[in-house]
Amino acid sequence: MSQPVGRRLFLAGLAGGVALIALGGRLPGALRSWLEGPLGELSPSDGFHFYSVTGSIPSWDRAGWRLAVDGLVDKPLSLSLDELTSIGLQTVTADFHCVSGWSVSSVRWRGVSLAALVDLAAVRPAGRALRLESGDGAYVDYLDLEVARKPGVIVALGIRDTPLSSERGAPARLVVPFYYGYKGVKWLRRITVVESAGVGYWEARGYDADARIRD
Amino acid sequence: MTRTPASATEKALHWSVAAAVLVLLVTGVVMYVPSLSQIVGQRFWVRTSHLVAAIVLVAVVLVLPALRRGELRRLERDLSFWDRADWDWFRRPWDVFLSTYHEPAAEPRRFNAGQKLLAALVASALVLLVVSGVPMYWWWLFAGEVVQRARDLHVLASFAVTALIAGHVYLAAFGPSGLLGTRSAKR
Repeated sequence: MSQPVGRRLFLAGLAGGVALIALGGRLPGALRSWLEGPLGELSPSDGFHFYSVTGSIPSWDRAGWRLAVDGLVDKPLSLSLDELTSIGLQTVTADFHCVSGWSVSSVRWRGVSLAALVDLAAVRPAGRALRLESGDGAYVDYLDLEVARKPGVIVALGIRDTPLSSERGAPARLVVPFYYGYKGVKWLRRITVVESAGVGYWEARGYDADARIRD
Repeated sequence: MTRTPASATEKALHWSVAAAVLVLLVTGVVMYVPSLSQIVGQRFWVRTSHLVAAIVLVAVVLVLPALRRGELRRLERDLSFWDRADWDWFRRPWDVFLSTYHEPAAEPRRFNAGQKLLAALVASALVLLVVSGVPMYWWWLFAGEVVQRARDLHVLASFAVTALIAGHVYLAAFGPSGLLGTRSAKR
């Protein structure tokens, strides 16, 4: 005599998935990590997945690279890596959160305070926000100046005691520890002080304007 | 034993779901594996392709049964109900793997136990993938912990679907009645 085993399996699969998430505590993450382990080099060795909105990583050379700070400032800057470093480095340790649900705990970044950098350029009173441009030629994001001046917001040059890798945004990237990762513009090449924040790359494609990490 | 051939509706359902799942798997792997993400880049387009394929999948699964209710209800019954011969299939996995398994002579059945198991598990995994994909795509509507758990479930269900489809493709190609499985069924 036949029985509707398929229907029961279907429902059991749904119930199992829901239970795993609703009741599993750390089990789903642990199970995922266990499955990802054998993937070796295919799984992210440093915990980070790679995101780029173009087809290639921008190339750069130490001798020719400059970070521009311009716009509504009295002293426009064009800083080499050494000049940027000479402003003074600070360490920021924070969890990195991606909007799609993965995180990396206690990432130790080393870089220059964004507040110190814009102060060096002497922002005019009309300047209220920053336009941050990536060297990939496509990615642009904005930060209110008030946010940019908060402690922990840095132009990072290093991670975990080593210079940034190309994948992580070398030679310089933004780190905003209280925002999701997409606000951390990689391959940063230009900071422009503007009157008000515009619409960033992902906001123009549907993301919410509020990038604060949700608990 | 003569199997009832698949109807045009069933073929349309199978191949449209297969095409959508293929796009989902490829784009999902590209987003998931860093070395592939680096080669392909274009995060917005890969992510959008993933979403469009998911919408197509959901639309096909909702629209086709609505248009051909009776036909697909019979299909669901054929896939859902198991009898003694189905359990026999699971007792001889090695024979199934080597394409030497012969179904017991009985009344003609449209699907073997492997196909029935695949249908049930892939269906539930796809539902879980669609549901867990919602907080991942519209992240700002959900708490961070919900998105994180949804991603864990999404990855686990993706692993399951990949393994199931790999088995399905293997048996579809080399199984007793498979396209290339000439050793037993066609001798």
